[in-house]
Amino acid sequence: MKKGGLVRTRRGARGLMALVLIIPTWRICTRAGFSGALSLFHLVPVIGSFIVMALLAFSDWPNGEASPARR
Amino acid sequence: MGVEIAALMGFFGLTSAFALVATILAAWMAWRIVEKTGLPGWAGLGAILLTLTGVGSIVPLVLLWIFAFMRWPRDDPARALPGYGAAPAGGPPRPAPPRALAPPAAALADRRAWKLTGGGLALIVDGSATAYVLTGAPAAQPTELSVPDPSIGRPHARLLIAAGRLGLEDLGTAGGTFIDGARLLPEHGPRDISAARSIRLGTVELALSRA
Repeated sequence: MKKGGLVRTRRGARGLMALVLIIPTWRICTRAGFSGALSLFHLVPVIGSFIVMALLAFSDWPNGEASPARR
Repeated sequence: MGVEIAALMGFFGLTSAFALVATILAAWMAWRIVEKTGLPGWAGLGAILLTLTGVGSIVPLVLLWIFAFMRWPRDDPARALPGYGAAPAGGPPRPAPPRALAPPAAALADRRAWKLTGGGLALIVDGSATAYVLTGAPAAQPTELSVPDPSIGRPHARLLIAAGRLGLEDLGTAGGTFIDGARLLPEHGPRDISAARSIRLGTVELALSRA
């Protein structure tokens, strides 16, 4: 395969992977009460997923969280 | 040659160390996220640790999709208490006219007023009206109870009184309403909170007692 074709294939695979992550993360963010657009951080290479996870893990969810008694 | 090999080994060691730290961090965050939904935290931890096994990243990805679209225990109805009407068929939002609380199965003999305390507030619900609106805005009417906090909706919830019992109805604001930690949603309708110990409006926790 030529170099240009390989680069396109890799970019396509990366985009598809990001989409597969973005759709469920968009849903999780909206259910938590955040903007679904936060899930677009997945498009940032390497640290993008960590940023979304950190936001969800360490901030108070506007739509409420399960009470400690339920955990 | 020996120096090059040593440098290469050092590079891979550093990469492995970063990968290890990243995995631990991701597992910890996954634990916290999953816990916030009411599911056991170890499920999130397990999903991340699965990436270290031979199953690769497909299974965690499938688990992520399941997690996103499954029912979360956080969204389960608040504990149902007998005596108050079934949830109305219509969904939110419908904060308009105060509805009367459905007749409870048994009236309470104790007719003292109810008191909500917390967040520097002390709200008295004396039963002179059948419905009170809890709002984050300044109270404009005697039937409005102001809880000045950014997390409180305008209006946020409704208190209903019938036969000495106190009911609570969420009006569908983002901050949420909780009875003893259980989420109350607008579609649940009015719930009896006479036996509850506390309610939470947004981030404001109010202890319920008799005045």
